[in-house]
Amino acid sequence: MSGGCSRAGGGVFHVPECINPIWPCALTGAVAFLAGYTGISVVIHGSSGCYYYPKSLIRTPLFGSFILHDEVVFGTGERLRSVVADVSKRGGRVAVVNSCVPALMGEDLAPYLDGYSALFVDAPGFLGGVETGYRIAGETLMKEAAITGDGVNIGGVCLLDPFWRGNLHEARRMLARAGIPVGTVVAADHIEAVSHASPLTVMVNPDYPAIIGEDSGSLLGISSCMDTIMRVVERVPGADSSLFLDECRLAEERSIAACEKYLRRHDPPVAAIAAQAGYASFFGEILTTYLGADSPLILPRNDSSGVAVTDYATIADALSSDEYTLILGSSYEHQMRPDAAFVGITPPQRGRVILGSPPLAGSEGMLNGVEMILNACMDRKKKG
Amino acid sequence: MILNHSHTDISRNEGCTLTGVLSVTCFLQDAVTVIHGPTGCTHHNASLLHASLAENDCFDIPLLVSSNVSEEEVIFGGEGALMQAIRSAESYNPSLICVVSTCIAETIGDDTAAVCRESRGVPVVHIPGSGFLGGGFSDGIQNALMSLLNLSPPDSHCAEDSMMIVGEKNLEYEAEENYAEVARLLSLLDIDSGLRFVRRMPAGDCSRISSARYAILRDPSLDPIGSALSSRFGTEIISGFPIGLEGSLRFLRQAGDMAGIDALPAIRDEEGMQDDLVATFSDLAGISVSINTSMADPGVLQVARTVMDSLDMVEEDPGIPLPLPFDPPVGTTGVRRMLQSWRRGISRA
Repeated sequence: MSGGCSRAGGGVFHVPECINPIWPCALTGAVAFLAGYTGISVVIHGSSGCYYYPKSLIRTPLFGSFILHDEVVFGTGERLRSVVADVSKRGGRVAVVNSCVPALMGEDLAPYLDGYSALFVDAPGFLGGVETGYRIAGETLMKEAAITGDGVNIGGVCLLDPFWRGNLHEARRMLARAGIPVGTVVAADHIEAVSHASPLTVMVNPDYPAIIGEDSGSLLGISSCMDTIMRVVERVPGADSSLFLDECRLAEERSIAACEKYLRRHDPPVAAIAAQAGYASFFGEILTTYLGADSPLILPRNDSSGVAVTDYATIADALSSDEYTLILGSSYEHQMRPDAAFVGITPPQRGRVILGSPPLAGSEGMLNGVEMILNACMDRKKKG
Repeated sequence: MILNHSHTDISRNEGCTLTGVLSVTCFLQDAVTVIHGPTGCTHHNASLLHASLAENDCFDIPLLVSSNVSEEEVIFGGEGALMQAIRSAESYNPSLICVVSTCIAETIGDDTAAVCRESRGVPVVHIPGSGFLGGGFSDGIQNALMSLLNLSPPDSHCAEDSMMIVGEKNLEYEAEENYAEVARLLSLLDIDSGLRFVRRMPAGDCSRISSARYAILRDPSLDPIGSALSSRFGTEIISGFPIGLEGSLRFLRQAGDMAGIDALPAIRDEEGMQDDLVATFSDLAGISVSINTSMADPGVLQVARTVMDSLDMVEEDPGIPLPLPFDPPVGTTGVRRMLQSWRRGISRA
């Protein structure tokens, strides 16, 4: 596999053109980060086109400066100030996310934000993908953070992640069960909570960086979940992992039992996974450890563990072999291989109704992951 | 949430020019579209097309090649990346390559048109699509249609009597149903609907545009395209799809006059169908209803009020709020769907 739209740092890997890129830009990631916070309104400083797309993905109120040609020629500052003035009337703070063209213009926008409690995040789309924008926004906001609390922060929450709410609920539940207080949630909290952060951070989706606190491990997958909680318990006075560890062991037993029953009548699936690297690894481990499958083909959306593959044509080519009986990915991959069993784990999930909050993190996330795979495989068998 | 969202400020918030262009070029069969800009711009639109087409049971997304402009091209220029992207597009052996520029390409000063003019084995059309620098969504549609007109020779000797359909709203949920209604009305006059410029049209058919004697624009906002067709090729134009009950009758008269056909029998047939429609919904007579006019399209309001009058519905405040379609209802069939939606709204109130 040697394709994609990613460009690794230093120009080592360079793919100039790209066919139907299917992963959003840095601007979208920055907006998703900031939109997770209450007490701050997010303004996208750019064209209507740069507004509507994040708005279609992130179901929270967003504002736009909707700049036009004249403002590009004569300066966008006055327009931005007027929008920030309007938005400020709602109360709370304002975050301005800068898009490609205003970033290129090199305008000094800081003076136009004088007098407002505004956070300026320079995250033009051409800097990279979602994770890059998320990190830039996080680093900008966390300059204001203070570590004053006990316990741990929950990191890796991103509104673009279809499992973000489920992960958050599950992380809170698990930490409460172990008697570990939660500091702040990155990025789904009140904006003022960043000034009461904890010294440690546990991750529910490792592809979105911790940004604040010492990275104390991931809650994705049973073994890493147990390791993480035991590590944290050692550092948090009064915490106790015993109940939680019992729950994890029970979840693993239930997963093994369900997979073994499936395997009494079926062969292991031959899988391909198109997802962020962390989720891909999580599902890859379920497939190999509990279902005895060969290592799946992994097409990572981001380059945290290699070269990102975000080019539709490259992915379609990789999935064209009819050997794959199970596809985990987005609705793009689903439409490429409608004959295979499908588990939706990557945005977008077009044509499906998703209202509940299933997790991937924690023991419930493990059970949910196994359940999704087995049900998809059994449904495919039933369809013949 | 959108700031300053009003009909007087359409250019600021109506959507990206690039998306407008793609809503045309992506419906050219055997063509490839190259987008000269960052991958984010292409992704946004690929995702939108993926969602919109899936709504219409079309699961293949069109081929979009991004020149993948990154920081390096922003600093040193992106024409090399564009040439590479065009070469990549050529490798798919298309009949036509449409190259669309974006805000970034324009801002960094790339001469996209000059790159497109270079001689190649396949026609390459440059279409301005630079987001807010070039207008909005509807400007994108016009830019695309206008650029594609250039592929048709002005001196066609082969005149076609069918009616060319121009500028269908390809991302509209009811696009096929609206077309079917126009085709139904034309069939009452024994006229065929011809070239669909552009909806799932072979790229090679762009050369046939000049041979169409008559054309129907999707709506009057495309009048500049109609003027170009008239002045270049002598095409006679109807400047919008039939809207509402009266609009359908007017459309029949206009199309008949244009084609030299007596439209009276067709109009009588359609009037009969409209009378039946009104009778079918007579249970709505006398019901007090209200309309939220703040964000409604003026064309929708006009049709809605005409239909309410026909049915003796009473507009007053407070009344049962009526759901309005996003676009004016096309033809008698469009009005029927609107009335069905009203009846459902009233029954739920």
